[in-house]
Amino acid sequence: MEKEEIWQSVLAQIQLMTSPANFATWFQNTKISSLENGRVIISVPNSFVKEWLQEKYNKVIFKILKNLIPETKEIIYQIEKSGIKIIDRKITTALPLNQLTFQELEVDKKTNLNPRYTFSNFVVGSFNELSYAGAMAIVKNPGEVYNPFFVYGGVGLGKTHLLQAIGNEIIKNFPKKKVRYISCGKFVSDVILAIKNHQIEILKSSYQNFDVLLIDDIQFLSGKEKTQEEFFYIFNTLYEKNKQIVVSSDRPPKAIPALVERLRSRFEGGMIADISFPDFETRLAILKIKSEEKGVSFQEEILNYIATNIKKNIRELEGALNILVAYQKLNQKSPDLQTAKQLLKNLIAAPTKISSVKKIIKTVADFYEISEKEILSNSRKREYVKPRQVAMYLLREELKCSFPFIGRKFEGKDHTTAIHAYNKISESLKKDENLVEEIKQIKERFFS
Amino acid sequence: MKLKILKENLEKGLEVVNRIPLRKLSLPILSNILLETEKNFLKISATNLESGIIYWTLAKVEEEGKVCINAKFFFEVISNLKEETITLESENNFLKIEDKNVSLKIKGVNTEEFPIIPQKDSLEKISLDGEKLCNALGKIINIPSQSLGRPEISGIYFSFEDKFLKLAATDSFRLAEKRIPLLNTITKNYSLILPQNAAREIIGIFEREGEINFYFSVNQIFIESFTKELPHQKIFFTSKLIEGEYPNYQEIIPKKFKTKIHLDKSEFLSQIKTASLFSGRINEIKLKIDKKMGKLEILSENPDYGEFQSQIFTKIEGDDISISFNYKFLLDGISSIEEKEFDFLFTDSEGPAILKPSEDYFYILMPIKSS
Repeated sequence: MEKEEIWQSVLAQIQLMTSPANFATWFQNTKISSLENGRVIISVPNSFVKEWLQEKYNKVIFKILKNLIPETKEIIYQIEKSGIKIIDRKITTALPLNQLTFQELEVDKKTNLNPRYTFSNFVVGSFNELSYAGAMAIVKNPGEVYNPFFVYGGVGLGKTHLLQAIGNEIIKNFPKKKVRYISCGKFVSDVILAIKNHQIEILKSSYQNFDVLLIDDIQFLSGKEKTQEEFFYIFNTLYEKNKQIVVSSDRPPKAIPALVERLRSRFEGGMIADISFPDFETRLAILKIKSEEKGVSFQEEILNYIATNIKKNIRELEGALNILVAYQKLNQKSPDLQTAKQLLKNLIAAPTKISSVKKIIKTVADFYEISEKEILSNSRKREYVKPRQVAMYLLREELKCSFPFIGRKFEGKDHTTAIHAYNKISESLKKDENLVEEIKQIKERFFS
Repeated sequence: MKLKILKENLEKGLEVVNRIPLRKLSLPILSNILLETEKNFLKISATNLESGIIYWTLAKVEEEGKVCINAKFFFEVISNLKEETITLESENNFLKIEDKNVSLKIKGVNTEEFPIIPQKDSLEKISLDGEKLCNALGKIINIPSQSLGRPEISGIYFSFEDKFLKLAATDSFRLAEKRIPLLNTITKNYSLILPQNAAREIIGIFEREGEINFYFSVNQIFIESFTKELPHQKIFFTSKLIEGEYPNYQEIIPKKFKTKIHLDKSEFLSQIKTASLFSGRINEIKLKIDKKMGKLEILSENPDYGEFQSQIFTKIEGDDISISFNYKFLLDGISSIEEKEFDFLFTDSEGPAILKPSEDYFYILMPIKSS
């Protein structure tokens, strides 16, 4: 007989001897947690029940158990530490309107995961189906397929959501697995702190215990050599033990500057999947799902309007929706299309063409991690020449600046220099995939 | 059982054990208390199966024994007696109560049905001042909310760290922490989450006690106090704990501030109270800090009632800021301050703000998005 069945039959007999109130009070949430060599461990929910069963029911329970399993010698009552109780995380009352909350409290302390991010609210479309398929394979067999799993894509397209959903799903499927989500920035500061306190070994060994490690925004490792070294060590230890590693970045491994070669090749050794921009239909689907989550509904044409005008960032889609939700709650009515346009004016009208000369130059300089002064200088060092040419190319391409104007911006260079730069980059773009990716990333940055 | 007891002592004991409210109506035995003799003491026990309490009071015991009777009814009967000394005597299933002029009998129930209150089994003892503990709990007791569906923050967090006990509570909109000193040194640091109900009971039970001791076991806490006259237990209280890990709230505490102002508690409190009358449906009160003018402006408006505006001139450090709060959360915070003056620090119009009267206490609250 199974443990459950035995306990059921014990309870069935005890039920006949006690009042329903007593039975419900003392036997609710009890069970046999182990049954070995005549030693029966009964788990109970709290000390009151433990004392009571020990003092008042021990004889009866023992007698019944002895009948069922003759070798029963001893009964031990143990307070159940966890389990039984199902923690319902759903918020039951509506939050006060506009009240801000401590976001940090949402996060699970052990895993660092936010339970809000799951696959059930992750919208899949052609723009992210490869990443999604990879993630689905991983949550079924963590560590066995696609290891490491490298996801890259622009800002606000759901990388963090995907990473956290992988973590949450693995915990659901394999409750015993130790999952850890960490942002790269946090990892870097942890390493620095550990070095300062001479505790780097402790830090390293603490990471070795994880079964699944999810690292967000890995591009921040760029240029941090010591941290890369420690990360490489942790990565290898986990990888050798077949522990799942999932990494996200805003660009592919090749395009991360100042990343040591061995780490780059490790990243490329697993599966690399990208998340691009969602198409119109997906954007509409996202809006519908999000408004359903928030318990509101808007006219189809309003959602169409948002989906048509916000193309490059899912987070902004949600932001737009939030504005409309706030309006609806305050005024107790749905906005019409005209009102919606008015409300979203700032969000939608603002971006794209506003990128100024200055902004482009700054973004390019930041991207290649050189100073604005250096990019504008006359230096012929290779590390400055390429960014300078890219900046000139983008000024021409995006702002339609005249070549003489571009020349003047860069310390009075001749217009032919600008033309040369433009042509060179245009040519390179046809064969150099890395460059294509870099330009894409830079564009995303100044549009976001 | 037969004993003579001072009516005043018995009444005090009954008052204390009645602090544990009945929660499970399904089990009738729980509305009863157990009276037992123990050497020269009368021992009174009560429990609701979430928490339990035992109270000892000196008595002249003539015959050992125990009896189980309805708590409320017994308390009312005793309160109405006028003589100083009374006699309690069990007779079959009845409790006989007699003083000089009155003689009455109360029907009891089977003492065997009364639940067993778990006893402490750990050795590590932590001593605290009962009054300070209850005062500290009183500041934060109303913060946790039961409706969030998050058991781990529905209680009060206790963290025993070296020389201090830190008590914390949050409902995800605000968070308060109070620190009180320990009276002995501890070997290990402990932390636990106490249910809000149990914390309420503790405030009622131990607020007039001096030194009290804490003990722990697997998801259970034990607190005891001693009689002044004799080295004997006076009150023993136990409660179950909330399982789970308390969020690492240190991360919420802002380290850097944009603006800092210094305020007089009563002046600020009275202006916020008046402003609250004018706040609209979302309870919004706006604070505007103008450094050049050296003043804090308080604004609120309500389409139905009108507008409110007031100002306080005070010392301001940092930048100008404009920030809105739910007045209820702000009032709770100000009211929990005992000091005459306090610092009010801001990080951002949409970031946490902190009320800080001393090193031992702070109250962090999140603003609301200004409409």
